[in-house]
Amino acid sequence: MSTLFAIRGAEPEDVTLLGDATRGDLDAFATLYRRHQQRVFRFARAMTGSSDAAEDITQEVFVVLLTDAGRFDPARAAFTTYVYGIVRNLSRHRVRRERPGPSVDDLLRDGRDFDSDDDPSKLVEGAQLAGAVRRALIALPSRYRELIVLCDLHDLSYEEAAAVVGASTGAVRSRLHKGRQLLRLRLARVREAHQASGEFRQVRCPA
Amino acid sequence: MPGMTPIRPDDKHSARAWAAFVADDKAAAAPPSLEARVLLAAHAALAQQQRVDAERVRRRWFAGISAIAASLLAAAAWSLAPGGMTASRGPSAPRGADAPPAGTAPESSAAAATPESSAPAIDEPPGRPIPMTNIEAGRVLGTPPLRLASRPLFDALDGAGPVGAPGALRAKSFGAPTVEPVAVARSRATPNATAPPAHEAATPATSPGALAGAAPEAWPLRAKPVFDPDAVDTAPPPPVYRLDQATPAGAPREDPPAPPK
Repeated sequence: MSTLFAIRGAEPEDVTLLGDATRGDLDAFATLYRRHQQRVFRFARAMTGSSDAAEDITQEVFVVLLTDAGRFDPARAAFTTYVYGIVRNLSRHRVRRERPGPSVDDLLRDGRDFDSDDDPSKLVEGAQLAGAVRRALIALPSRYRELIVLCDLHDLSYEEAAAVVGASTGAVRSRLHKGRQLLRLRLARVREAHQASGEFRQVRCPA
Repeated sequence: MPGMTPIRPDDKHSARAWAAFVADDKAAAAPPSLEARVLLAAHAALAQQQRVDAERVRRRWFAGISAIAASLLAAAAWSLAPGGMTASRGPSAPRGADAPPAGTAPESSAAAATPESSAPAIDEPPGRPIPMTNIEAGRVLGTPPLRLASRPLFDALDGAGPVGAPGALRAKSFGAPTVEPVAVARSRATPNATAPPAHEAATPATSPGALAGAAPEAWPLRAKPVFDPDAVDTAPPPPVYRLDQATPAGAPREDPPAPPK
């Protein structure tokens, strides 16, 4: 909730900066970019699973903010909610245009990432674990994935997430519950695949 | 609750993976080169938007100027045309002001307005037709449109009766001599005319009608009658065939030969 208050406290300033940027003040636009770029980039990266796609989406989001600034209505939603909505729409378009997402077989093959016998360092293991979770998250339907990212990673409230995705608070709760269940199920499958591949390797290695 | 881990705490493996994922996500940041890229794209987008806005304003301005110029040109062309606005409306406009109200008698308005109203229309230059509505045409003609539409084609009071049919029903048989309609009229007008018609002199005297001599002089006969019952040959009737007879029924029977005595 502290993040929410911090965001709301910055609203007037964001609106002022946006107005100055639309009038050609690039310094105001740079300030606006530095304030929101990490949030935008993280959300886009979590939604697309790709840093390159997240960079493109970040650039596109700020260009859209500048050119379509007249569409932002402070009475309807907060500036951060508006930015999240743009990122969400662009990410959905990008994912829909490029690839539908990994299948269950891809997830089962990704179980080899847990096999860190060759590299025992915790850093690599953590990266592999994070990659496995990211792939499992990407495999979720977008209506569940976006709410998990918004609520569990970006700490948005149900109301703010509902404003971003354009749904009611009850729908957000329901989708979030369902998304978490699906994510747990997929992570359990990945772990089982990892264990199975480990036993298989134990059998084959002595030979 | 937002901000909570979606992984159950008893699932240590998944919880560890989720924690690693959250740490990786928190550490993620856009590369520094992205800022310059975004600023450059924003600058280009602003310039493009300014160009589009300027073009839109320029098009609106040109559209307004073009509309005004077109209106002025149309008005000038209309006023400078041969006949002009006042000449074309001349016959109707003052007459509309002087026209009698709808309740006045049509005869008086026709008698008063028709001769004067048709004169300027005739004197109109021939190069341009006079645009008129039906109301204006009715005023020019001195006849209201309703009266104009309901006026009969042939007015019996004017002495012009209905035109009769070009030919009457034939009252005589085809055997009787045919009479020309012109000769009938002349014969009725001058039954005892001394001078015969011109075509009567050309009629040969040996014609059958002339030999009969029953027709008066004013009723010339044709050179050859249309139908002469006496001149018709009596042809044998056509044979009628019957199914039970091989020979035609109408054919005369031949008597069998008499037996030899």
